[in-house]
Amino acid sequence: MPIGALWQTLLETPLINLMVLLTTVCLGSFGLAILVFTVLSRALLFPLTLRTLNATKAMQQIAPQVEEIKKKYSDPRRRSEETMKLYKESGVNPLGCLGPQLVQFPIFIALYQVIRTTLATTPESLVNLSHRLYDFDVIQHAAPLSTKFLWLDLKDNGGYLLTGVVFASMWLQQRISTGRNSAIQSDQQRQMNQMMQWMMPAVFAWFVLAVPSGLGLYWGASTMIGIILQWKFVGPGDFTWGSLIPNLVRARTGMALLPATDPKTGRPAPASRQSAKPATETETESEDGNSGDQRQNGGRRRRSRSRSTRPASRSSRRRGRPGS
Amino acid sequence: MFHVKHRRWTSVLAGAVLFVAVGCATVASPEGWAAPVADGDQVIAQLERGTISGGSFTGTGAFVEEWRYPAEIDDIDFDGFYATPIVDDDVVYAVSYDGAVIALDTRDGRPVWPAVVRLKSNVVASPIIDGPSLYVPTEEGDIVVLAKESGIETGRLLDRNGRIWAAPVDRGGTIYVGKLDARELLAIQASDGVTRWTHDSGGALSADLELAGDLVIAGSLDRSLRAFDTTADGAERWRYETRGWLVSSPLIAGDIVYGATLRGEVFALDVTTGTEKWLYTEDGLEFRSQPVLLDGVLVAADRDGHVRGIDPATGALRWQSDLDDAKLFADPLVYDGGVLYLTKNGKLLRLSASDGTAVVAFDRGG
Repeated sequence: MPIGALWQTLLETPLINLMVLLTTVCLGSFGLAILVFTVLSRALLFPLTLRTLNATKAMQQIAPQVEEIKKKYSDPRRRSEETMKLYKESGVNPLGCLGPQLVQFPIFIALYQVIRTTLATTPESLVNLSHRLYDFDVIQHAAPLSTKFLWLDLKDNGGYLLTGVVFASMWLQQRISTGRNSAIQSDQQRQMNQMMQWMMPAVFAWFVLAVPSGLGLYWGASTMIGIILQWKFVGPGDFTWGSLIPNLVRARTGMALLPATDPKTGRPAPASRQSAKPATETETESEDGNSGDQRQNGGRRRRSRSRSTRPASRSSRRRGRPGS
Repeated sequence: MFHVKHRRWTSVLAGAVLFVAVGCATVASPEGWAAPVADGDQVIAQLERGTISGGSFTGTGAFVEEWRYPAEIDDIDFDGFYATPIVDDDVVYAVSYDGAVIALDTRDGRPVWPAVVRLKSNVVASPIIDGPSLYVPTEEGDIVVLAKESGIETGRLLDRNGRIWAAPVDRGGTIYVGKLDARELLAIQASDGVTRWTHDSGGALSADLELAGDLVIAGSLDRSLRAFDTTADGAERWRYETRGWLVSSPLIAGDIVYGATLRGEVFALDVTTGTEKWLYTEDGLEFRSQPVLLDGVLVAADRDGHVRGIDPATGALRWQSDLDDAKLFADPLVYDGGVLYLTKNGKLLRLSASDGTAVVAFDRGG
């Protein structure tokens, strides 16, 4: 069987029928069906997601040791061997976090095809839908599906509002996951993370503009569920909602300013670049090379300053679970 | 950190692949399935997507394209035509999917109106003419009324809710309209658009409506052919359930209604009672176009070019003809003793109803 036919038979066609069925269950709302599907798929992938989150947590815990290995061994081969040994001893699989992302990818592609097929962007595609539907009245009689959901026409490309929602949720997800390890990251990683924090949301925002908004709805909902899971099982790292308030607003409202970061390295900028009031604190803190991101957490600034490079324990402590 | 690196790079990779996938994915363009129509010796058809051509047959049976609109020099671009053009007084009225309405002289293809009328709505259903007006049903759910002579919009009928795909029918100043998404049949007065009655049609009305006496016969996507009584506010008189969607319009011949479905069924019913006379089924076939009756044979074509000649009295298979490379979405035209099929790639095939042999009368060549 050719791979195209296999793809259709095993993934695309069942998904088309599932979506049509869900739409019927959701009183004819395809948008609601997408949201239900998102929850269902995330629930199905939850064991995998949980494994990833646990792996992430475990990686955080051994991160200082990994840093030590890096400092200790200059030979890349030896360093790699020692790192792998540490992973093995700790029972950590560094690739364990790839699962959900890899599984989600074909779902995403299939859903793209499903939305285009079921919502029939052309009259031909509606007629073609006929032979993709299973021979059950509840499915066959559901066509044509309504393409309207909230302000969206699910078969049209995503609008700016949905794009904004997806961008914001992805940015937040990136922020939470990259910030968590910032204290123990090298300059190179820090730079990459900074770039990714904007690049990934930008790329996916482009997708939302380019593909049917139904897909954007799925991606936005899935990202939000991802954020909730990450927050619940790993914690927000050094992220706080307060850190979203820009310095411009902070200065006007008399709040403590956030430290500026060097755009090249992502590390805190030299104290001289910062405003007078927080400079004192910043100067003091910047003696500790790891404290840059910790300082973004305004309320916990002083506590975290004196601690070592254990972001995981910080987040655990916040949830009242010391020394996790 | 190692995992963070991998996670980032997986995201980057996923993003890149998605980027390519989205960019490379073929966006389906509306091709159109308008049926050919005739005006005397002239046959008018969409031989190429987004164009309307007129021509005639030579003594050898070849079709010669005599004009085309828009011509290359016209610098106008239309989507495909789904609505079957309508001919009236040597003028052909055609509406493209993107809502461009044109009126052309059938003899030379010259535009009759000063400009192309743009409706700003997609159009699938064929228009109808009533008196001095052209009624164009849209995918927005309303009907745009244009002056036949000038193309000037004179009004809009119905609310904009749910697409109209089925060509309406008109009798005695009343237009019967079937809605796809709203799943309803309406009777409206052509003069002022006042709705006389609305009836729940049960399924999405997708096939062109047909009138048989006082009955409106309507095929739908809920795998049913229904008859609605126009004298009783659209009350359902009978319903015939099938295995597949009814996208092609039924054929009324005397007291028999013939229909075909996307799941390989061709059937004959008593038009008054809906009682089945016979049912022909062939798994794997999808009858998209309307069956036609010629020379005592009912000809039904599957959309992949499998044509069947069926005895209209018994439903027995008389002959079968499998046409190569022929995607048949458009309704056929009975013309000059043959059945004309327009393929999706612009071929005009002339098929003999007596034995199913087909010859290519025109090939766009591409």
